[in-house]
Amino acid sequence: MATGVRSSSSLNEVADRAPQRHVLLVEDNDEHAELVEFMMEQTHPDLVLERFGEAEPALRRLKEGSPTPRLILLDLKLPGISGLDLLAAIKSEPSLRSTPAVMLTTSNSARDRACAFENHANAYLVKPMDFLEFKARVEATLRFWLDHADGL
Amino acid sequence: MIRMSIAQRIYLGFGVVVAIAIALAAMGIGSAGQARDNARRFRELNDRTFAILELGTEVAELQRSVQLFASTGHESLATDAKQRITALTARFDTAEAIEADADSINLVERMRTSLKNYQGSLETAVDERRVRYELVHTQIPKLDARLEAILKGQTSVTGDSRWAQIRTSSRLIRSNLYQYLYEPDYALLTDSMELTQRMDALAETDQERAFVGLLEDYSRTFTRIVQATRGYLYLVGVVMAGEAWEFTHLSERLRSVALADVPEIVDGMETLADSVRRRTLVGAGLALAAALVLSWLVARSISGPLTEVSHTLDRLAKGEHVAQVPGVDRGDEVGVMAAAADAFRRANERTESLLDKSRELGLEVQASRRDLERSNQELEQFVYTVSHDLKTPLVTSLGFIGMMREMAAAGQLERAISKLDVLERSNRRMSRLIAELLDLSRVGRLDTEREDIDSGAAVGSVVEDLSSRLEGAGCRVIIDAELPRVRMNPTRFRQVLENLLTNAIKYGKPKEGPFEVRIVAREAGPERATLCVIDRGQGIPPAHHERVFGLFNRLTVEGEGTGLGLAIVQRVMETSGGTVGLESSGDGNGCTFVLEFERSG
Repeated sequence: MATGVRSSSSLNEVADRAPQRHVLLVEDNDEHAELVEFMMEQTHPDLVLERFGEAEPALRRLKEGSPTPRLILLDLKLPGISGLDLLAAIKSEPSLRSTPAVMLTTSNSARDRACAFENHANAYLVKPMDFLEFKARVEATLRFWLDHADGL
Repeated sequence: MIRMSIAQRIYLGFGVVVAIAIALAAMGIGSAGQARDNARRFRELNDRTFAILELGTEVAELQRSVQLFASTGHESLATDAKQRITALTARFDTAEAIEADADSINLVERMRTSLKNYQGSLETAVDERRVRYELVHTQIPKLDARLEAILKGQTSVTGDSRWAQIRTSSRLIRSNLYQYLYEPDYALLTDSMELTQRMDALAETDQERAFVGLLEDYSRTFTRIVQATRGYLYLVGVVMAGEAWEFTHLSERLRSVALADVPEIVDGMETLADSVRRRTLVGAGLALAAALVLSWLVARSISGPLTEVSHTLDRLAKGEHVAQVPGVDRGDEVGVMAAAADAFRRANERTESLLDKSRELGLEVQASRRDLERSNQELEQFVYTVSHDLKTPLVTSLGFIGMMREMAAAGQLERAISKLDVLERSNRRMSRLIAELLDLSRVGRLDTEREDIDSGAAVGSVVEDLSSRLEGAGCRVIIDAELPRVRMNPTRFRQVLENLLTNAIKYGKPKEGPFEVRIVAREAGPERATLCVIDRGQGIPPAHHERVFGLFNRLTVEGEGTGLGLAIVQRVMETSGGTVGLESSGDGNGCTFVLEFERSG
């Protein structure tokens, strides 16, 4: 079912238009992180995945380090600072506001969805994720941002 | 006074004051009557004195008339004197005012007698005067005429020396006697008598003897005149003057008798005036004092309780609690008011107690609603957390199955098979989670019977059971020799100790030095027993102390904890009448979990 996911033309298009190749993943669960890495490897092999287990170092890296990632993948439930708080912190930072953030979570509750979008999440994916859906979402988000980044 | 109404009290007060005023008035009226009596007596005395004085004046007038009469001999003066006497007598008859007492009566009687004597003397004096007048103006001229006639008839006998002697002597005698009338020198009279006797001896003829006889008559008449003159002069000058003096003296005495009462009356009037003034002053003072005292009493007996009642009503109106309304037992209008206020107060209290009750009920309702809300929230949180934590291994399993399928499809069979471990671990974790959740749900329902436990022995047994895991972690457990006996369910005790030791194995390893966990007793009073599980690991910052006992709240992502261990410990301790606490600074000095139990009896 996940075999026909490769669409190099679209990937190349994305890669050509945006120089950043980094994708930031914040996920405390190792297995879940491994799954995301595998999916990214399968769908977007040209992008570099940086993984953090907790919110604090991730935020530090975003604020101080470079390059600015092209995409941020956030688990909702993190030890210490929660994924939602991290999202809010990222979106209140002017330099990061235009970086798309996708929530990855086991929770399918309407409340969590609403909270995520209130804090300016760009997409919300419920685990376990289907390869096709994951790929399509990530691509759609990236493309949308490439189209509108100048105007935002 | 207590049982009288306010109106009655006011009436009584005014009544007393009015009574005093009436008494004062009565006293004034009495005193005025007395003063009037005194004045009347004084006036009577005055009249009496005046009448007596008048008597004296009258008598003086009378005496003057009589004196005039005596010296002039005018009959009219005698008549006047008589009229005066009659008037005086009449005055005595009518003037009872003068006869005030025995003394006065006696004196008046004597005055009357004196007046009568005076009258008698006057009569006699008038008679004597009349006799003298008769003699002087009738007898003497007659004798004179006869003597002159004889003398004229004898003119022829001239040269008769004897006759001439007789004639000369007669002239001398007559002139002597006339002179005596105007100048009563007794020598003139005796000379004339002597001369007459000598003439008698000298007379020789009948004619001469008749002449001498006439002369002798003449002399006798003169003697009679002298006697009469002497008589009325004596009467007027001695007897009547004496009577008049007596009369005047008596009237003086009468006056002094009358005046003797004056000082007494004046004294009486003064005393009366003084006593009236004193009594009026005292009475007025009394009335004033009574009015003041009574009005004060009445005012106080009214205003005091009224103020108290109104103050109480004020407090009631403000919603204050008042134990007792003052003046309820009074019999007057204030009592009625106080009783009404008391009824108001009781109603108020009933309302208040009802309000309190309803407030309590409201609070209870609120509290139970809050409890309900909290347990709802807790349940929601629980469901949320449980669903997440239960989903996590499922997500892992499903994700890995998908990934392995991808790998297999790509011909990476070895790689796919290598992921079976993750799949298995994930499923085991799922299984353990379900088991622990079930266990948590049983806390407080199963294994609740408490027993006396020798905590030292129980801890030793748990440590022995965990020995392989402890050894695997390189951890050594040091147990105090003296641990207290506690009261708890043995299964639950084991569970708590197991969980805490498991926790210590996971998180209690120090950065350097030997990995040791100590179990010690701590002093906690006569009814409690305390055990401490102490590790030397990183510790937990105080901000997270509460969270570590919550469901699925793990502070690190490392290790394989379910996040339920400490939650189970807390739930067990709470349902066993104990507590669990955490002491840690979170800066590498380790954790101390403090378990407090009921000490076994």
